[in-house]
Amino acid sequence: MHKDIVILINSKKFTEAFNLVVKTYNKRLYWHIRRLVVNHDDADDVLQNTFLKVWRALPNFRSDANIYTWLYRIATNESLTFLKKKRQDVNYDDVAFTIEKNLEADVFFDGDEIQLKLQKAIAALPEKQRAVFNLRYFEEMNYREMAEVLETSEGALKASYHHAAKKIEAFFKNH
Amino acid sequence: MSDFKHIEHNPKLKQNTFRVPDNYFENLEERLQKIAQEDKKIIPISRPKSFARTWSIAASFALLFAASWYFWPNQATLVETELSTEDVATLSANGFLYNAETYFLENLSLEELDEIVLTENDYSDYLEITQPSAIEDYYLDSDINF
Repeated sequence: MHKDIVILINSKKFTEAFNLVVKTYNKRLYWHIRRLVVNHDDADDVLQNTFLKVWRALPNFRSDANIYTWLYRIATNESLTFLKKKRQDVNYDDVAFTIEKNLEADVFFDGDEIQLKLQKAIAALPEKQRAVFNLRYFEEMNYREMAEVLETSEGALKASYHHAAKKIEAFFKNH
Repeated sequence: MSDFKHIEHNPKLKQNTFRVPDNYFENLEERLQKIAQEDKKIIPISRPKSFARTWSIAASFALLFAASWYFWPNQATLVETELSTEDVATLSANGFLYNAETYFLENLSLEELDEIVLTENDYSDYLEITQPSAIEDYYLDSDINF
């Protein structure tokens, strides 16, 4: 699929390339964004912004790059920008608290008690660490790909994931 | 459960626990594909530059050039007013532009006026030797003995 998209981009068939990207990756990117921003409406907004950026950047896509990590990078950056804006309105603790409370009341959350606990623990992580944890834990992405997505060294990502794991472990102990 | 190893390898915890509104994904693809159609109207991507755009840029440059040409100080006019003393003398000798000659004469220094008079009447030798310091040199050069 990556090859087909690259062929369309190289042929300057950008609309066809974009439609294929949407068709292939819309659900995966939605879930990635949703895990970061938690709320469905927020995830929908961020997803649209992500695809708008993808559409505008498509002509500049380097054919030697990996489209999958490129898309995840845009989606992650959009999500982190969204969360940063949200954080400017209220302080960090309030954001984490709001996410926790929203999870409990969210009609679009189906988890049981232990699953809710994990989501609350993840919501309490700093935003970038949350992205690292989600990519590794839920997406099961390898560190090399994660390094491409987050533009960070593999060593730093391993350390970040380790710290996140310790915090989640502590959250489970204390709650 | 508090040990992270139990969390990390727990398939239940890795399950997706979020839901979406009904039919959300059915419309999503179509809705996202519209982004490109709607954005095309605002930002053309890799579209060849239209003639209208090229012409508007060319017209802007032409207008800028015309405006700068119109408002720029006319160098030719300035040159005409900066006549040399020889030019003034020539004009004067030929009887041209009496008023202009008067104007320039009134605005020239005494030295410049002298120069014009000398050029016109060719009395240069006479005036040069009237300078006290030059009289001796003149006689020596002319090999005149008393």
